[in-house]
Amino acid sequence: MSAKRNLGKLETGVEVLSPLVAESGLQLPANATACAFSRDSSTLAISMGDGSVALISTPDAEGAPLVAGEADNEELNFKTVKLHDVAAVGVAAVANRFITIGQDGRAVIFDPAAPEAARILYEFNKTWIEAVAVSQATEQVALAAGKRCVVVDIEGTMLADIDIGSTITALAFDEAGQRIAISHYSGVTITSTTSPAEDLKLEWKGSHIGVSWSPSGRYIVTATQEKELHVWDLVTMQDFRMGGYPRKCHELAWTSDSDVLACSGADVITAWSFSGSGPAGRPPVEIGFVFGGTVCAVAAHPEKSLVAGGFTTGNVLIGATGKGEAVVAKASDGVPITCLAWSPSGRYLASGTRAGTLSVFRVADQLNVR
Amino acid sequence: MSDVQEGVAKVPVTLLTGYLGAGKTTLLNRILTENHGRKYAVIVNEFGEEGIDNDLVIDADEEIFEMNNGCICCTVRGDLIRILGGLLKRADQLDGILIETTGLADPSPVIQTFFVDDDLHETLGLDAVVTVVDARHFLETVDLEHECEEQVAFADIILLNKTDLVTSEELAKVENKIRTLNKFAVLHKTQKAGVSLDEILSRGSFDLKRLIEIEPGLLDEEPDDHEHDDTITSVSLKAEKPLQPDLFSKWMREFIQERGVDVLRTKGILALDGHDQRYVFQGVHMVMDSDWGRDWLPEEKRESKMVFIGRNLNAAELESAFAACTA
Repeated sequence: MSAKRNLGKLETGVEVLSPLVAESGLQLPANATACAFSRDSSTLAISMGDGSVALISTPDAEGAPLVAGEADNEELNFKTVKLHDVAAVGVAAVANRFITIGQDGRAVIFDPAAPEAARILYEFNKTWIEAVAVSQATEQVALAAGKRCVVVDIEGTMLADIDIGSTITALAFDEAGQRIAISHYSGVTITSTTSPAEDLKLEWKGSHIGVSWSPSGRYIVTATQEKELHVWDLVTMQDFRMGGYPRKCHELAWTSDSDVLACSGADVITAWSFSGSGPAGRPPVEIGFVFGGTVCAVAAHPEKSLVAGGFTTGNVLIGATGKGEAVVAKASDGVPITCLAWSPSGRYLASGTRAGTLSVFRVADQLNVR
Repeated sequence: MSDVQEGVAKVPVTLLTGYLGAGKTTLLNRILTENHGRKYAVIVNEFGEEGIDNDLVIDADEEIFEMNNGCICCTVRGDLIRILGGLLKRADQLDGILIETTGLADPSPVIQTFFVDDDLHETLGLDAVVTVVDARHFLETVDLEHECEEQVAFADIILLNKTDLVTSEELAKVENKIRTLNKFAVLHKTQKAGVSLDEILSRGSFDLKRLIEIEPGLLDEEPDDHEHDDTITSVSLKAEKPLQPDLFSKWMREFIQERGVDVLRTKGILALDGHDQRYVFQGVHMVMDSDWGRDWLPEEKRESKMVFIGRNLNAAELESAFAACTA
């Protein structure tokens, strides 16, 4: 990465919190492993290391507009429900439900209005569920455990059961929900959930630990153990690497227009532009900067060209993908961010940490990063 | 590398190796069932027939991959990175993690995994390689099975088990053979893997900060004279004059580049010219971990000590190359 460094506000050691972001925080009973908002933005669900899930109602289902400089630390209430015997390691929202996955081999589905009526969507025998992906288009749920990927609908009806022959590390649906990209050793397998078409194998030696599919459908991007991104262009069928990361860059997030892929793994949020001829030969925009920190979580705004990054220092920064400057949403507390998610309304951002601290940020519509 | 979470205790990880039937399972069962008040997770390669139904026993796949740099020494256990990362997502704090390798496995991919993966390096510490040796069958298997020999060579701690099933003469022969392969491991003679768990867990054998002393015990004992070239031996080196950092680093780099496949383990505590701190390092094949240790004490003799365990090691050549680094 060679672009000029756009220093954020943290180089001086003075953390200036943006008046356009109001933070409310609370302490969860266990470490946060993943978080997601419901499709209507009214509920935030956080999966935790003790097998339970915390549910928080956002103050306003529509997302109350934030007035610049409004006081934060709004009182947040949460309830928890124990859904897994061992750690709950992922959560996703589909239709009006949440799905959580656990190291007890279970995927559980529930309505946030009635979590006590949760039921098992699918159960693997004695194997951790490693990944979950959902398609909003088809309301299908893909689950990975060991070398198997199972696709079910929200009633639990089996739609596909695929043995990849290598341990699956991550899953991503295409925008239409017709195909799923499965990352594993030596590459990615793309399989169709709707047609008997033959699987497409994208090969690159090594361990692929994350996969993402551009909303345009054109690009498949994996993160590798060797601290690189590997990109396949499904139109030209060419592939290339993007590197220079000091750490593994397995957190990947696309802006809604497919123009930008934001990644973890550096002391800045790296934002690769896929517009025009793609990122080959162009350096990424470097957004924000935290001295001594590494980005370990990223989330892209559902509409705007904004991305949020969570750091190992505990900071959360929000920046515009085209520029590089960022505002500070959360000050450092030394506890690494483990999860980060925007609400579909775009008005809330949530972050959780290894120590179980949870922050919900209300973000002003006029957030305009200079 | 600076550690973001400096001061946070790392969870110690013990690698348990041993040829089939040596007594690994006996040891694991003790660790899982004894009332020691500590919480360990165990990563095994296959559930036993009776099936251990326990959240703390995790089945690994032993999936090994080569790093894309083409170095055959840098094979890494991808399943371990995944499983250990998953264990760290649990709310319960573990006192330790044990990784059992299959009886036929070369332990180096497991060790290399800890050197290669930054995330593991920060949160977990490879504590020690513990090898269980079957006193009755060791001498038969060691000449036939490559892995049996390697497991002993990689060990920090050896449990010479089933001592009640052999005569004292036989036991002496086994011990002698172990010492030709690995002079430096701590050796416990046991029956039914009966050793205090404190002797094998949380030993800090891979912790550079705890690499205080290299005690080349039994240095004067020469190995049996009928060894073939491929046999593993250990070589220890000593230099009383300070080493020239440039010369030493050039020699090590070239030597490891060329001979990394043969060199199983290295350790060193060095006195470098112009530095008041001890320089400590250790490696497995081609991967190395090094750091500045504590200051040399005023009364301490500033001498450099190094250990190589590997195949086709020529002690005389190594000695003269090491000596040349003091020039």
